[in-house]
Amino acid sequence: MTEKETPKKVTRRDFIRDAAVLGGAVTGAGVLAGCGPTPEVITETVEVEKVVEKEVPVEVIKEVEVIKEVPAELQQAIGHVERDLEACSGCRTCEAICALSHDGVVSPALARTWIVDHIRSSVIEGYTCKQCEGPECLYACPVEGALYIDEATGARVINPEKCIGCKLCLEACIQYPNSPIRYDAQREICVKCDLCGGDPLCVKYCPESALSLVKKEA
Amino acid sequence: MATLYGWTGKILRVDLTTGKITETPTSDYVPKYIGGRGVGARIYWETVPPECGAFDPENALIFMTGAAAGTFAPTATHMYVGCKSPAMIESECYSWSEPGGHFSAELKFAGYDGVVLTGKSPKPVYLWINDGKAELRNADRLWGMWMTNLMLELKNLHGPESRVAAIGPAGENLCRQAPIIIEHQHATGYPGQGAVMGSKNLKAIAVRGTGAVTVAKPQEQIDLWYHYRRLLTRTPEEFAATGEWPHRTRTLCYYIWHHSHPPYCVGHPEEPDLAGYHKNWGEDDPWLTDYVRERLDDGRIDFGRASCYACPVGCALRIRSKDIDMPAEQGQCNDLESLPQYTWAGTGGSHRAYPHTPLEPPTQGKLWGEQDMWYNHICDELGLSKTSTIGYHLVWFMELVDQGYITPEDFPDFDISKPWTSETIRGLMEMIAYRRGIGDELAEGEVRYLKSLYDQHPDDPALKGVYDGVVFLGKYHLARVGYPRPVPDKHIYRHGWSSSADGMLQMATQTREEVQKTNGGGKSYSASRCVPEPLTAEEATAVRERGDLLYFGHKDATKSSKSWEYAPHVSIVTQNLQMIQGSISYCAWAGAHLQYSNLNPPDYLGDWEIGRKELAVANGIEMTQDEIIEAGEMMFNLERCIHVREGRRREHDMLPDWHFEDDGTGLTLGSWTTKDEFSDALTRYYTERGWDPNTAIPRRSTLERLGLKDVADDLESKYGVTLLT
Repeated sequence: MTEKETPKKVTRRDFIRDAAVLGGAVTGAGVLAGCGPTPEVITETVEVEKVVEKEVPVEVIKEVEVIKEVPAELQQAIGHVERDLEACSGCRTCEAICALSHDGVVSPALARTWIVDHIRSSVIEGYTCKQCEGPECLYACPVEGALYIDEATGARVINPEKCIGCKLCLEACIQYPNSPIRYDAQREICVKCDLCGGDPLCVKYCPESALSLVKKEA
Repeated sequence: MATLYGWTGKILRVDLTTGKITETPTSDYVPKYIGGRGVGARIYWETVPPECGAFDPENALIFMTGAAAGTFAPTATHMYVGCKSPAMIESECYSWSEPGGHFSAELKFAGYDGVVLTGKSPKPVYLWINDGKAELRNADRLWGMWMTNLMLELKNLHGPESRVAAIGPAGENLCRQAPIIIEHQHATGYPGQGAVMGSKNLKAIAVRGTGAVTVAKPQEQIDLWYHYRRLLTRTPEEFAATGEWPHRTRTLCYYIWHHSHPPYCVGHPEEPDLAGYHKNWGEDDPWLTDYVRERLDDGRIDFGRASCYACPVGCALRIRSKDIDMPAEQGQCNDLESLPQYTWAGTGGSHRAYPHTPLEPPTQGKLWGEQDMWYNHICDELGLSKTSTIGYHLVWFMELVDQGYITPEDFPDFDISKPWTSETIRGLMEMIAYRRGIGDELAEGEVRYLKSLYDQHPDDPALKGVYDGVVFLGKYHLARVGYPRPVPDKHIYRHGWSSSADGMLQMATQTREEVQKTNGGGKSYSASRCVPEPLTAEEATAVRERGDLLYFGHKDATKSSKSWEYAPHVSIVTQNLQMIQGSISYCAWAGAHLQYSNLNPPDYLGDWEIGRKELAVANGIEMTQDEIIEAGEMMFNLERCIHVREGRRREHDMLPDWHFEDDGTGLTLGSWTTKDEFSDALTRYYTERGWDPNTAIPRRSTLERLGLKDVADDLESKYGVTLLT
């Protein structure tokens, strides 16, 4: 079992407490759950400045006594969006439609798929969420249910109600620092690709058909 | 205050003389002046006094985004750039253009709706705008840089996502037609804003934004975008399935060049002698030169796609060439092309047809020779206009060589009498950009240059023929319009648009001549022109009549392009809608195609309400189509008042006499009408506009009806213009 697939459990309370106590590092202590695969106790070091920066209301801390559990056999996403960089024109329709459909505003900084067009060299970099088999973002998320797996699509999805905006998912992403998970400074939460419920709008709207939903092999 | 949907709410004001940067609220101007061209005209009216010269510090260089720019409005990517233009015929006066690209969207993401630059910096500077902050930075090191190095330098500093608008040596040296180059792909065209920027010691504007633009009705805007996309284009797969147009861009270009402007459409069946340079567009283009074909085959050149921000069409092209060695400091020759019009190849309408052009034989009549690549690249690098520097006007340049007005001795570094090489082109362009030798005169623009020649030799009919061909319109217009082409054996030049009645009226009365008559409405939906499947004559007529009735209130409004009967009304409606197009500001090219896309049923009448719809969903401004047209009328009157303030009168709208000669080519108005008839049509145009037909000055009652009372008051009290009531 690779480290990526390691199931782990971290309680929100431990996380917050340790963050406050240690100041620079946090120890996530595994807590046994009633069912599911045998959990392992893991220790990881993460930056916590962003956590303590944000005031977490007391009642929220009480709420998250529930143990967060990631089962070993994760439900896989139906697929992920992939970009053909040869076909991409750099128009950023994907960025516009993504933010507009999810957030009601046009803002490339909120787009869960984005590009950098190095105009002079005609090289385009593109980043889309891979909906990883072993999602580092999900493992990194310290809040129960804030980053969860959508039952219908298997997409790794952020619940804006529960997200505390700690950015740990964003930083854990294998594509970091070019993470397709974005931080919404306005709402102080992270946002990420949710496959638009199975029919990604960036794919549907791409004028060049450069984006496609690559289905997982059965 | 209610939310200004689609706007960030701030316009940046930069006084380059003092370095002081301030902000003013956008709500001073919107929603009344819609945005873009309308707001720009109003700011110009308030900022630039009529006596100010184009290169005076008092001149303002105004960048104004459209109302829907930065939202997901289909094709609303353009940005108004206006100033007192140094490039107009004879006199300097107000003009503007609307480059596309990503700059306007990025500016809004950075928190600004527009930038107004006045004054003159004591030393070279550039403006860096980033997320609600703006600062002037030292550009000593950047001054004199060619475009590639400049862009790389600024992007190294500010990140690859930053967008840059800049000038090259041509702008620094005040070449009157130097444009501002935006991201290597777009330029501000003809009015010479690059020279104005150079006169202000401003090398570049770099902008980067991570903010958001609000949209009044997000879901409706998403639906509208998709709706227009289906009108304009299909996916590559769908095109592949039909086998006819493997890429959608070809559809756009095809219809621009083959249907919207048949008179001068190169490759048009009616003109088989001219090369079909837009017949196709892509790697299987039969018109590609062997030069390009070979390189495509072995990978030395490849084509990529490029596009303006979130455009459903994306008509631009990247040409990556690995074997054209530019000077060492320039690196690879990677070119980004906007519409194929704006290329050396796009000048085929003129120089390709001109047998004396000493281009290498393989290039003649074909797309993309080595010189094409060089010309595009060197113009970008130096910040010269591809169309106006020599481009379309290579014909007159070569004619002057033939006539002996330009001699090989004028070019000490290369031999222009031998077939042109890349070095010839580079040498010539550098002479212009750096104002060396005869380049100093050419840098004044072809009209000023030709006028000085003509003044010295007023009796030479051949020279007059050249001069006439270039000076297409009057003093208050830009020099260039259409595509001058030689009339064989006559040493004269004619322009393609000379034969359409409403088109000529629009040209004569615009603030800028190069406004496609198809913009924003007008006759472009005409079924007889645009439906690929041949309709029967009766069917085509029925469609046209229904369209004419809808657009212009009479079923025969555009029945004949050679009749003045409805031309004034057709011109006025079209110009008013163009004003809306420029203010929102959706693409003049693609926007026009919404009205006559081939992808729709043959009886499709077009959608002239695109402006109304975009404004409603992006900005939440609900107007009826009549109100939209009236808003356009108001802004058009404002632009006219600007020109009136700068001295424009009826006589300046009159066309040069050669238009009314019948030279047997069928290209002139003289082939079907007379000067008196044109003059009569102008009178009817002014009367319908509510202007004094004797002076072409708007009446006070007209201005007051349109909500421009303060403009009327200022004209009378400040500028000594007498208005009729």
